[in-house]
Amino acid sequence: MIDRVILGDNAFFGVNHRSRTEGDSLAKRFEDPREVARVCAAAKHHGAGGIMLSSHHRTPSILAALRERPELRDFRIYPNIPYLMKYVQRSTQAGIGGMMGDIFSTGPWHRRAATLARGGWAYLRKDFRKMIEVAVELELEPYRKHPVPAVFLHNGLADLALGLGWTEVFHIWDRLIRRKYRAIPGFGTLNQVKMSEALEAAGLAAPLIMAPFNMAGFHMNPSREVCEASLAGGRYTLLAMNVLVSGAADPEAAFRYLGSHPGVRHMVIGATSEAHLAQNELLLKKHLGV
Amino acid sequence: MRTLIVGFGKMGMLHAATVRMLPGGGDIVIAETSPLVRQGIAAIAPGTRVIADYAEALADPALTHAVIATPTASHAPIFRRVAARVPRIFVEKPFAADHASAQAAADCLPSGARGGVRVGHCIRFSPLFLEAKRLLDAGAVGTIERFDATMFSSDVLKPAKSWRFKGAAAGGGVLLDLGSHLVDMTRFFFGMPEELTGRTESLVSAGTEDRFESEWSYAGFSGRLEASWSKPDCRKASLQIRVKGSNGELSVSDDAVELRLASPAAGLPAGATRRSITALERPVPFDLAGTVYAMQLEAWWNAPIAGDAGVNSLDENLADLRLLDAIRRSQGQRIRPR
Repeated sequence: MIDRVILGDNAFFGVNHRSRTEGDSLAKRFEDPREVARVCAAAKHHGAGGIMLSSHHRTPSILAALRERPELRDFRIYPNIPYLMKYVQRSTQAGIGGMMGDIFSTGPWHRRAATLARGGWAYLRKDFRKMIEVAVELELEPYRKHPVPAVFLHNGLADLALGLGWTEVFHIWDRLIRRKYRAIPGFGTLNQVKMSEALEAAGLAAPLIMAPFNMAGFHMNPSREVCEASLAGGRYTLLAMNVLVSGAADPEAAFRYLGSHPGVRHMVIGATSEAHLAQNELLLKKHLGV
Repeated sequence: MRTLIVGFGKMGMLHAATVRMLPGGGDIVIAETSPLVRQGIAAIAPGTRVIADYAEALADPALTHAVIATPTASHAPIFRRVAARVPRIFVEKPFAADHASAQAAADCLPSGARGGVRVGHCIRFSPLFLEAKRLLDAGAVGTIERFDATMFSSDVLKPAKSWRFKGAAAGGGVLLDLGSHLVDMTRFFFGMPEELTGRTESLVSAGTEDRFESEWSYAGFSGRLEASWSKPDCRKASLQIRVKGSNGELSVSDDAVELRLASPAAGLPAGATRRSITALERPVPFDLAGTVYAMQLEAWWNAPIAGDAGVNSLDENLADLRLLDAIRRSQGQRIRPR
């Protein structure tokens, strides 16, 4: 089972949909991974059970900082992989081939050697499924020493597979995360309804979907109303994201909205200050009974 | 209806997935020259039709649409062959590497029947830039005095290997890459300049430009453009246009439109106003990497073939390429691009 409240990582990597300037200034503040760990400790104190953490190049140092704090030993990590921006930028610079080379050359050298050997063998045999498995293994390597209840396929890739109709990708992901990592496979998406329908049609019952869900309807495609009706059908577990609309929403109204939808049981919430974390805790208790 | 996707790199994948989600768009055939990519598709999605040579698909009677997402220098020759068979073509930006090859390709379709051709200047669908343009047209900042348009990314901080950075395949450097967006949006905002000067420079790449700047002159005002793909610390490419007018200033980027007005205008109060993407963006039927991609393909999908007008039409892109050519040619000299 995943946690009811999970801390979001966007701010730590400078992502803010509402203001790039604000995002940049937060990225600077969190250049020191101990600062991220400090916020995680505060988030845990205020009820968050874990953190959503993309496989950003700074993630290993953040995880190391978390391990330095004994009170965060049971703080659970939710990898959201791959961190797409690094691959988008790499594919722009070096093409698809160069990007694939990068995937297979990350991680510490001793593990890289082993995975590279398997990845290289898979490449020579043109065993693409094995190549995906090795790539996922490399992405998840930094999280090895942490409790990981679920692993999310980044919405960029999940939605690409959805659009192309490549549902076999979902099966590969599902099998790999369940069998090899003993974790719940999660699917990030900006297309909650279409994704839930595709996963169900592919035979993946009651999937875990991470998608925007907020009072403004921001990033809720094809519309807020259709997403609400789909969630009410109860055929999947939603991890709601963008719940505070990148800080644009009034928190009281935002949590009241979430509380009015019984299907919203789990949410990922970005917060970087003690005051916001405390406020969120109060409002979650008030409107969602968390 | 069947859509041919020519080129299955980053943008080809994005467009293929988005087209499949359009009403009636489910049937696609992918043409990709890389054997590795073809083998990968066959292994992971065996039901997907994938061919090595796009020309094979042109004999297919079911073919109604085509998307060209190959390296820029190949757009025009591919377009000429595809246009002889399919009039509804979406071409990734820029339409061609230069105005002459673009014009020659455009002439394949008779004037008055080019409405089905659109080019991938996706920022034209950004709700923020459309709002900024609406406010400018409504006179929010008064008489325009000066503008500053920039587009930066961190794509090339050291010599890079992709075709984008090799003159032969790309047909140019940052001028055609970020520059085509920047020039297109600046022309959209302010129209064709009467005169311009331009200057390009290489910072890290051998044989292509990494940065350019250009000064555009109009009757009564002027403005500056600058683009670089070698700017450190840009998480992703970002376009910004700042306008100074007799009644204040407007700034638009991919997160907000901000105004500071001396007196109320265009329905806005005096002082500061900020409209962010979270307030202006509307949902789309299918969102992959940004709503603008779905909106631009939907507009193309539904555009009437008859007539030449429309957002991102061939005529608009011919104008953009005329400006890009002029910037490249100028090297500090004043040029009349019209």
